[in-house]
Amino acid sequence: MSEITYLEALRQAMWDEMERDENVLLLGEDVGLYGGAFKVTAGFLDHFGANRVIDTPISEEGYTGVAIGAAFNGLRPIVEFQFIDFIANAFNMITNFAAKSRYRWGAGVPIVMRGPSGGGVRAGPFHSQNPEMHFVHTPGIKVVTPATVADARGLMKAAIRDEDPVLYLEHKKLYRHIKVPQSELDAQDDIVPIGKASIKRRGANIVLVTYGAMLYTALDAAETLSGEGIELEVIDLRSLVPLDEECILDAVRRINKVLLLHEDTRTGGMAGEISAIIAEQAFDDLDGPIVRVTAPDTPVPYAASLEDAFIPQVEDVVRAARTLHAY
Amino acid sequence: MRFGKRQLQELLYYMVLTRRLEETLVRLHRDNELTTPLGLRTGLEAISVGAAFVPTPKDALASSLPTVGALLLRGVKPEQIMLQFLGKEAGPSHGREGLLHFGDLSRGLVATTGHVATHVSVMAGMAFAYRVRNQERVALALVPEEAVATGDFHEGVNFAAVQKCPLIVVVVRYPLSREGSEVTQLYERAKGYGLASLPVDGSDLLQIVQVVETAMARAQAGDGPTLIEAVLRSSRRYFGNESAVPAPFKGAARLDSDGGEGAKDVDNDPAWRFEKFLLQQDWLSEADRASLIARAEEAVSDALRAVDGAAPAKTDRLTEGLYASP
Repeated sequence: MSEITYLEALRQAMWDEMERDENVLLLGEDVGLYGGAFKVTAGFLDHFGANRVIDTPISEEGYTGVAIGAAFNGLRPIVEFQFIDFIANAFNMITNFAAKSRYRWGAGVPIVMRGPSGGGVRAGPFHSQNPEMHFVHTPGIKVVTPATVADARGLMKAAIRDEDPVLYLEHKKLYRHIKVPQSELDAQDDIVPIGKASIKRRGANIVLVTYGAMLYTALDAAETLSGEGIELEVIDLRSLVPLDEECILDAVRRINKVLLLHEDTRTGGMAGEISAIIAEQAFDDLDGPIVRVTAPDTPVPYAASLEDAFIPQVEDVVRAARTLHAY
Repeated sequence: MRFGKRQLQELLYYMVLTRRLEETLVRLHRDNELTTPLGLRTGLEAISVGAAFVPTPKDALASSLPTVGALLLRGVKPEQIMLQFLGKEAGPSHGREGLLHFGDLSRGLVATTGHVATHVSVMAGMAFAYRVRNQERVALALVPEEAVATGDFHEGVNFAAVQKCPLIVVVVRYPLSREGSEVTQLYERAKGYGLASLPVDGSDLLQIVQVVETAMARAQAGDGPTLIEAVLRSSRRYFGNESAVPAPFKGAARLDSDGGEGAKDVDNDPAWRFEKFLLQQDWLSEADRASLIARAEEAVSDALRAVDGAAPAKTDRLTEGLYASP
């Protein structure tokens, strides 16, 4: 039985959508001839042609603008950032043009912006970042963070069909690391709705909310803790905007202790926002402090020793959960 | 001359209407009905009317210059522009935006942001879509000269050149200004992108109409984008603050001599220059001229009546309309 990787699922989703809708097209650096830096779009140029698979000059702001204009004329562009770190160059176009068009003058911008995010592959400060909060903080953009093979496929299909700009943050460490049998993928929903979290493990003692590659850190920690009699419920947010607040609050009301985990840095991170939501709406349901496990407020360092210290590890989660459980 | 007398008079009418409307906005500002900076500039009438005259609403247009005339030519009513400035519910952006920052894709109008050149690549994208969808359309981006210093301008123009997009970029140079570039002839920059370029007198309406036609023909023949450098001989900027308002619109802004406080700069003012040309050619009689001015004044008076008592933007929809579905 063949196995499908996260990368292949993402690739298959874009391929299927381009077959389904001739208005879907790809733009980015080296997405055509070279097939993408991670080979996500290998074979697309030959199959779909140069009008639908466009190798752009290195110009993130420019080609994001091009995608917006093409979307105004009925196309549905997928913009690739070779590494998501380079999205910083397109910040003005995304936050001021794409995000505000519908609100200002009713012109929707159905584009998908995608690229490899995250660390753990020793790629240093400019090829490892998690830029989600810049965009979570910008009204008008949706942000999704698939962690599983099925979600890589399902959220990409949903993003392409969405009428608004969607930032699709794939995690480069998961590309070839995560795989499932084709039959298992076939049994999953083809399209995953944006804005719905997924409970990946049930547990009665602590609810752990996370997203992206940290899902696997959370699940490994849950396994270890289970051996100690501490049962974690693990929520994979899947979408940061819109946020499935109901899923989080429902778990807090049932379980009463919360641990928030992300690979992104601490200050102004998603965990802070979720803490505030819980504090405002489920304060009386808490039996302990809301605990955050996050990267520290530094750039992503290069050296293996430093990067491992930067990215939350299983033992960090286990330690925090033990303390919270004992509270 | 392939334009008929009526069309030529219509071109003059839109320049007159533009100026009358702008004068009214300045007066509203002076009377404290408007508190926003106006961001208007005289001298642009030939460019805004001339650049928008031949392209039709199927050809997208976006401008980071206060090109009121282009909006009027695309069918935007003077009262819509007033309501936009006044921040009223009935305005085109329902109070969510001010200035000329609004768009309407059904009229081929794309709203720019507050930044001077982000729309260059967006318009390149529209032009790219025209090309790959085999549509006989062009996209126009109008920018002031400051825009050429930005990365946005470069990235957008370069993409359009590489992809042979049917894009026309009009760069407007102000008199005696070299704010944007050490290269005094900005059209020479086009060579660096492998683009065609056309310099034009920005005060000469018919020249502008003609270069835009030439650029459109190139674009539609698949020859890619064109950079037009339009040099203004006379232009003044009005921020709308109290110190800046009175002077600029004195005299110089009026088309008819009565009431004007300054001497007419007939050779450099695009509207007067065109008016003089039409009179000389016998394509405009004094009676035509009077009726044309009266028509523009009536249009502005009607607009003022229409906006009188308009309701402010409603707050109950403040958080709506951000996404396609709530």
